[in-house]
Amino acid sequence: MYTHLTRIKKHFEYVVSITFGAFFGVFYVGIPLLKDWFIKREDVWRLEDRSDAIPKLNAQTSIYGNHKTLIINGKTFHYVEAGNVHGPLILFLHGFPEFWYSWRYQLDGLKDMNHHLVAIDMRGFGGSYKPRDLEEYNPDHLLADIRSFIQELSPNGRAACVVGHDWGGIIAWAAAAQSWECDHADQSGYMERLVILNAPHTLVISNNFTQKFLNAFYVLNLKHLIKHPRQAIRQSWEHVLPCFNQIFMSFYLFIFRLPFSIGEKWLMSRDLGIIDHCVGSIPAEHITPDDVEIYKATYSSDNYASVTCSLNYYRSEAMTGMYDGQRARGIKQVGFIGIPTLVIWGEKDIALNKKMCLDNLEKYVTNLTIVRVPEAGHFIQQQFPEKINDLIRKFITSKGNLRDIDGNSN
Amino acid sequence: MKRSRMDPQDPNSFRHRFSFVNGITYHYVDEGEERNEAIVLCHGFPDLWYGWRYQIPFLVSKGYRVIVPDIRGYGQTEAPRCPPNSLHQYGYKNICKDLKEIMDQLKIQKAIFLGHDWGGAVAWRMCIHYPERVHAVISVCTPYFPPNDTFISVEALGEIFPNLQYQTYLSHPKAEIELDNEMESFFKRIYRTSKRNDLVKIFDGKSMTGVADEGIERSSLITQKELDYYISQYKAHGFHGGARKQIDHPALMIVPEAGHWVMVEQTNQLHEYIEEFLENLKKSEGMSQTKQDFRKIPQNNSKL
Repeated sequence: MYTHLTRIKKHFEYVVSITFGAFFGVFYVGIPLLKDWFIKREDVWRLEDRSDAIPKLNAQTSIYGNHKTLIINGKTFHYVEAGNVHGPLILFLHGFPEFWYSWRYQLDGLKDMNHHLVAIDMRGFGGSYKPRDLEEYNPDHLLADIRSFIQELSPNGRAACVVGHDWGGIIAWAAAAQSWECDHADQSGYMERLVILNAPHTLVISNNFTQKFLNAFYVLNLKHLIKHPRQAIRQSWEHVLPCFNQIFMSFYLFIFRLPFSIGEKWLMSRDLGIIDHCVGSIPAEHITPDDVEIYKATYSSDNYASVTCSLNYYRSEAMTGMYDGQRARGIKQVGFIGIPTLVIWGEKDIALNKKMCLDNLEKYVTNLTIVRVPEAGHFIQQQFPEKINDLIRKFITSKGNLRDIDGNSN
Repeated sequence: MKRSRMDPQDPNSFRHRFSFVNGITYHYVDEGEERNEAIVLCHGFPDLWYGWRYQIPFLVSKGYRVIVPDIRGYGQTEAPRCPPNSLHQYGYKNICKDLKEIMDQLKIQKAIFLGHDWGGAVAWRMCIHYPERVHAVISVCTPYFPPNDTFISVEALGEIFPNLQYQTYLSHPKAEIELDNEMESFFKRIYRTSKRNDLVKIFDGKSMTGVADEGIERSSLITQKELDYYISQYKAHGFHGGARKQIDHPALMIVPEAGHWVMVEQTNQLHEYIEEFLENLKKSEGMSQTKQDFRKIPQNNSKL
């Protein structure tokens, strides 16, 4: 019976996903694109030839750190390191659609900490292993990559801190949970502290969805509805509004999951317009046109393979199944994290609803500090590098207590 | 970036690149980017870009840009599955198309092709499919054989040349399973020097993996670290891609005291020959209209 239910649920989710994808695809992406293409007569499909810039990329970006490669299970991964190579490890995990370069201000600004700062190119991005199989982007591979990196690069097999943003943060949450599970079992965990920038704990956010929808229905019980109809409906709507808000904010997700590489075509339109769109929130002093060219050259350096491969994160089981491994192993507290955790949240994030992501987080993370930055958007480590560096420095050198962190802690 | 150390014992010290080529993701090593003259190194079976680890620093020091791909089916390059009777994906034409596309992406007009074993055959076939992209060909251990008019099956080939019967074995699906299971013992049998006391029967008519408890010693040709790297790379796709397939007179250079793995066993001698060929090539460019005859057979070889 259970298998039938899960199969029906899977089909239902697929149908819902495609419907939303088609709807958003047509209205949010298709119509503006067609308008530009046919009415304004812009050449939306032209991609600039950046092959001259590509050989200079590594030399250009060497001011921030040294380029290295690491072979994990036979797969080559590229990373950039700074600071003291023998010091405790701080691992930086970037998100979509970026690569190690989004951490350049951290590699630069935290050098004085005498730690080993490593910003990696995640699987499918930049100069790292780029499989096209969706199975290679399943959570077990992604988590194994992180674990192997920490084991290879840290002096004692434990990272002093893992800093994750966006997809890197989603994976960092799951890695912290797995590390906590290992610590419980046989002291073989691999993380001391966790810093998350604008990234949801996927178990928390999916539970929030379920909980809020259920609350919305419970409020609509018949007695309450008849006695105070307007109040009931208003209360119900208040519960469910953040959910709808988040669904609309995540419109791109459904488009990425459509077939026929519609996601790739969208990202590559207007000469990798997605990058211009994403860095729009970062002030000009922190992202120059040269930086934008470096982003675009990196994405074109492999004949746009990284565009496909980075979308595979959204298409694989990593979207919904980051904690399936823990569930399968029968862990009692799935997704639970006991290490000191700092969450820095830019409240102007146009892709993540802060209620959906931060509500009930403290039920899964005991030692949690949330710092909200009202003026910051999604790409917070490039928008306010000094503030982020400051917070990270204080967090790592402190004992991880709530009291030791300044700022508008929650 | 700081110039990579290009240490043959450390695969990490080379510049790795990934790219989308001819429908699959290709992995290749790219050194000496700023240079004009390019050499493409094509490895054989069962090998990887890593088989050229000694040649890469040497050629870079000679002033060339060196591109060493993992050929389709090997290492970190994708190995698309194909049914046993439709092997066109892994045919010479498609592999040459892969190499041509890599050259297109890197804006290389013409390159020298250096191939070993099956890679040597690929290098010769590049001259047939894309002659305008080939500057010169160096082939190690593989003679030139043009495409035949009639198709000769691998079984027939085994009958004509009995020492090629291992190819009949490799073309069967069961070989893939056996080799995948006994990877370490297979590699230990294959990577041997040509010395008399190092010889091991590779193919005994039935299988190339031998009896499991024979306990073959690793040859001195290859260190444990290198063997581990080969095994870790082959674990990715197994042998599905690799095992499935089978001019003007070139100059013939004979390397004495070398077995199959010339690149590792007699590195210095090979480098001498390559250096001489490349020097002559450069000189002949100066006198572009004359055709030079590079034929030369050493007079004093005794170990034929």
